[in-house]
Amino acid sequence: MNVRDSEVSYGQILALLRRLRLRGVLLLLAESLLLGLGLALLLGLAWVGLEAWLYLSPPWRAGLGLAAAFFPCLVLGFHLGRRLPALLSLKSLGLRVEARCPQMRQQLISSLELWPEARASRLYSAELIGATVEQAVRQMALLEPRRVIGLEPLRQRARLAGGAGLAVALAFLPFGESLEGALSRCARPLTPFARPALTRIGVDPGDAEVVKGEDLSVRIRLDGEQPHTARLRRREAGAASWQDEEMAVAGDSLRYVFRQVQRPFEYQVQAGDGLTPAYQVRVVEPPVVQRLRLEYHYPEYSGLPARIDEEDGDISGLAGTLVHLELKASQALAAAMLVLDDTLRQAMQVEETRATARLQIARDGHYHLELVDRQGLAGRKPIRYAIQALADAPPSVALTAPGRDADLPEDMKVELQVEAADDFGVARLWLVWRINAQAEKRQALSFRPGRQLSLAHPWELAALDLLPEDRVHYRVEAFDSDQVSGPKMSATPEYVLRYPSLQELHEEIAQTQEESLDTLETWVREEEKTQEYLEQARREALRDQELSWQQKKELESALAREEARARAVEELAQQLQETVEKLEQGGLASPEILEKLEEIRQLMAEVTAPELQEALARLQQAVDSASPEELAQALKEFGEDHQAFQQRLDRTLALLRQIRAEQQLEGAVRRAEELQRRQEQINAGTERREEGLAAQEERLERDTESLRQDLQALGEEMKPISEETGQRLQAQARTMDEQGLSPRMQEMTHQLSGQQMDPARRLGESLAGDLKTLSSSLRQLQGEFAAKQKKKLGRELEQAMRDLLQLSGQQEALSSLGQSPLAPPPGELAQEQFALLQGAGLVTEHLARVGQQTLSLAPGLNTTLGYSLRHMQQAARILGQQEPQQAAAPQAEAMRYLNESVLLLRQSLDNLSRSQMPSSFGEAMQQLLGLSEQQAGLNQATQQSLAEGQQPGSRGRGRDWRQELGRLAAQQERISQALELLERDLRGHGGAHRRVQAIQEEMKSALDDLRNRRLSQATLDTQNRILHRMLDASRSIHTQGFEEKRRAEAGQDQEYVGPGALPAELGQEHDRLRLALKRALEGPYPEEYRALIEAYYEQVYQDLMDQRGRR
Amino acid sequence: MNLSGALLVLLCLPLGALAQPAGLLFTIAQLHYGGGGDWYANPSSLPNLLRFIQEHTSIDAAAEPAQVQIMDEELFSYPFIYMTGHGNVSFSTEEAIRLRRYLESGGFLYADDNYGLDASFRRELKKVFPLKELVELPPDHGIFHCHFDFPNGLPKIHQHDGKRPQALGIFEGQRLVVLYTYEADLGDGWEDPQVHNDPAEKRLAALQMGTNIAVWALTH
Repeated sequence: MNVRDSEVSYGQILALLRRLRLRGVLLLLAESLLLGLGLALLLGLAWVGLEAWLYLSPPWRAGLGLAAAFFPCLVLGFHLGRRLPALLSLKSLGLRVEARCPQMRQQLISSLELWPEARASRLYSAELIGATVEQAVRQMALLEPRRVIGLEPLRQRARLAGGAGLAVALAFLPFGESLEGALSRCARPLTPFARPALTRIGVDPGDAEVVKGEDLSVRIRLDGEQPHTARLRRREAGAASWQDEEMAVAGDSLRYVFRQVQRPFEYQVQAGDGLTPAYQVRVVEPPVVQRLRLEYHYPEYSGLPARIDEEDGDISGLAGTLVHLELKASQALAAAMLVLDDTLRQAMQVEETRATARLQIARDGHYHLELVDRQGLAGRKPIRYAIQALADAPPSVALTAPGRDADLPEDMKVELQVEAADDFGVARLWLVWRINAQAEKRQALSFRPGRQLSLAHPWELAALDLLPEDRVHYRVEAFDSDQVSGPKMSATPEYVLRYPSLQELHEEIAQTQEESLDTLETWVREEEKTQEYLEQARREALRDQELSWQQKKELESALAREEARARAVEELAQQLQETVEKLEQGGLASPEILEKLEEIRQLMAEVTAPELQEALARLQQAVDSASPEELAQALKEFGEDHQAFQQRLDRTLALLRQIRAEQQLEGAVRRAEELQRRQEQINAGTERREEGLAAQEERLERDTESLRQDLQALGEEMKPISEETGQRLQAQARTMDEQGLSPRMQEMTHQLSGQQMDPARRLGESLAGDLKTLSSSLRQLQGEFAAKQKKKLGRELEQAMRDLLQLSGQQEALSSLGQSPLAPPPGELAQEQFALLQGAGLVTEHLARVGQQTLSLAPGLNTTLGYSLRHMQQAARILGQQEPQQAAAPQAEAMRYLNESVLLLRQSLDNLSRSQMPSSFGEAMQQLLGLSEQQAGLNQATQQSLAEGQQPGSRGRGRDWRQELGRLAAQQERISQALELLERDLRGHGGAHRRVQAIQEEMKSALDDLRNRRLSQATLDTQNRILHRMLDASRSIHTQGFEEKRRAEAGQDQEYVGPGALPAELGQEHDRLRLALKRALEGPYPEEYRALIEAYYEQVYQDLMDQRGRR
Repeated sequence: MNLSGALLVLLCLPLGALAQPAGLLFTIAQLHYGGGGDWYANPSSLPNLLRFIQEHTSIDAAAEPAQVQIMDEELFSYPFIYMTGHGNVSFSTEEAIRLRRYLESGGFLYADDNYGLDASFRRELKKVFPLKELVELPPDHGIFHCHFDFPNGLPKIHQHDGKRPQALGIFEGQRLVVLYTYEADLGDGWEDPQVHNDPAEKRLAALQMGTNIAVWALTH
């Protein structure tokens, strides 16, 4: 082996070492790098952790940051400084190789140490050293580098670095957010950061924009430490201070609502140590309706003018009304919509802030308005307005007269009084009627159209050819003028007019009269007993005998009965009045009999004279007093009045008996006439082959037989009054029997049932003839009876008058004789005077008997006769006392009263002679009826003129109109003059006369208006009153009108089962406020304040009512 | 003169005060109401009642009743108004307010159900006094004893539906201002005898009760 080879080997050794050194350096660098990284991570984590934990101040943060950065560098430098030199030196590296490879046995280090020396010095054996080198090379070649420089340190450092990284990652898992924040702050180590609160607050939405008036809802989230309460702070824009509101915290979030925000503001939330920034809330205003104007155009038929309503938006009007809506918005609009019933949308015409639309009211509903402004902001919560379609209310109509079911009066005229009203005017009125079950008929009633009207319609039913027991069902229908949904109709209830047969009426009245007469007769008998009893009591009292307790009680009882009887007489008078009315309506009595009955009724009403009542009262007081003298005096006075009472009662009874007989005779005549008329109607029906004739004939037969029996009974009743008349009546009854009226009528009924019309008609004509003869005979009989009665009475009155004249003359002669010096002794004069007194008494008694047969005696006759008797008695007493001079005065008085009695008898004869003309009163009534028809025509003409006068312009109150009024005035004047003549004829017929006078008074007023062209509704009203009075007077109808059928039963007494006491609050529990307000009103306020307070009170009360209504 | 003053004068009048001016005579005003009902029912009843009052009390009563509508100026001249009928009653808002004023000022309303008035009258009365309730007057109430004695309370004049008669009242403070009789029909009992053919004792009871009502209205 040569040196060169050794040199090469040596070079190889170096090369190998150098490669090994490179590996070592690289591994060291890697190792150092990992070490530094690991340290840096750990220190960095510590730094950030400290920052996150402590919120370091900038010096600390920066210092620690530098430390964390510097320390790894320091460790790295130390590490490299310690390890790198050993790697860089080949010898050191060789030693390290030798240490790792003991098999090299120092050959490597020897080579490195010796070879360079061996080449330069001969001291060393180059060959030996070369051999060492060679061996070293061989050993080196076999050397594995990792045995010298292993990877273990690198792995350790890598584990360190990985562990640090893991630690960082693990730290970020739970504290990521906090460490991130800290890392962020560490990135700016010199920037100061405030330490975050423990309670962190999140607010959503924070800054916001809200529509004015709407709510703003804010959600608040709380993190970190959870406090028990949070505080919301609010501050209006421009305000200095905050307004706080505390809220309880439950959970990690809560909600707060700002209600109906009106103005901008800012707010923040404070919870625990947390406080949010101040958030801003802006307010925006949506468009709103500032004014709504509704213009109503009503349907033309309603006649209503257009109307503007700016009060509220609710629409209320007649169906068919056109409404123009115009709104003014708070800001310029882009669009507006009218929404009907939330469904039908109608665009409105928009112009700046105005929008208009039109709608027609068809039915009830509602609408609202939707607005959008030019910023696109829509109106909020549109108001819902109501639409109320007012139906044209149906008219109301009422029949105020007769207004009930009634019997038809004899004249077959019924005065209908119709009141009708409609909100927009009554257009038509119909009178609708039907007879029994026949088809309905209609008749238009004429009237002046209007919203409220009162119409009098005289309805003539004579033309309907009604038969007894027929019923006319009628009503009035009113129609309005609704042109949108059609005319509406209302009707009155259906009423019935019954056409009663005279037979029915007769039986009804006869029964009532019979009862009245029985009652009166009973009373007369009782009165006689009472009179006797009172006389006996008076005598006992005069004997100074004090009445025992029992006698007193008997007397009191008798007086109580007397009082009750006096009241009962008044009721009987009332019953008589009802009878008169029935007779009148049924045509069962002539006007004369009606007038007589009316006078008897008045007589009866006067039976219980006030004097009797007063005497009774005094007597009742005297019974209680202890003085027999007073009692005797009271009994005496009462006895006198009672005697007069009894006489009046007697007279009334006698008159009633007589009048009843006359009335029955009159009724019989009329019934016979009616039977004849009915027979003729049936006969006419046979020609037309009508249905139901057999039943009519059967009823006729029944009524005819009834009349026959009544004639027989009436004959008996008439005999005490007139024997001849009674016999003739019974003869008529026999004639009816002999004629076989009833059997023939039965036969005719049979024929009619078998539809044998021709024989039935022939038989009917025969029967009608017999009935006609019957009615004529009865009429003649009645006339003759009346004439004879009047003649007889006239004779008696004339006789009484002559007697009184004679007595008067004798009284004068006696008076003169008493004053003459040749006068006989006073005793003779007294006897003479007493004889005259007796004569006068006889005349008085005679006249009392006459008075029981006639009503013609002039009022006051009894009084004058009474006074004359009293004065004659006084004169006789004075003469008996031998004082003839003193008797002159009462004698003169007696004579004066006798003369007055004569005059009154003359008047009575006049009355009687007037009543001898049976037709005069009836004719007057007929005239009045005719005048009433004229007045009805005049009223219609006046109504027309009134309507024309209310028209505008020349069509109204022009010259023609005034001329027309002149004509009306002339017509009214003619009626007035005719009435004046009538009034003269009726003098002496008390009731009718007074009524005509009242009509004249009314007529003066109407005439005055027409003459002076002052036509008004008042004039028309006066004329209508005149018409009613005329109709009333002509029929002598009293206030009760027609007979009303029983419509209700008398109530049965019931035990009270209601509350035992009034409630404490008297039903005012809810009314306390109003009562308090009312009390407040009672204060002493000045007058000008009172109105204000009252208005306020009314408003408060109205609000209360509204609230109640809403509830 | 206010209403109470007029009443005082009226009550102080002597028995023979018929010579006084007609305006000072007591009369009852029949209420002409709207609604379509027959306000004019029972035409003879009020004259009969007035006559009865004249005869049995010291009140000087006129012979004829008056008629009045709520909006008439003279409403406040009548201390006592009476309404009856069989049909519908209707008060407008203005009428309800005016009627309330009248009743508050001392007036008195007597309503008599003539059969058929009940439902509408109660409804309309609510317009007049929305916050008041009708209360039944027990038999011991003074109105049944102030002049004639009715130990069992309101008499039943007509049978109608057979229900018990009731006297119901509205009070203003302690004062009875509205009297409403139901299922009694006093008004028919006041009518002329032949109108309903009521027994005499029923008519008498009706008139006596009517008198009590008038006396009570004038003295309370």
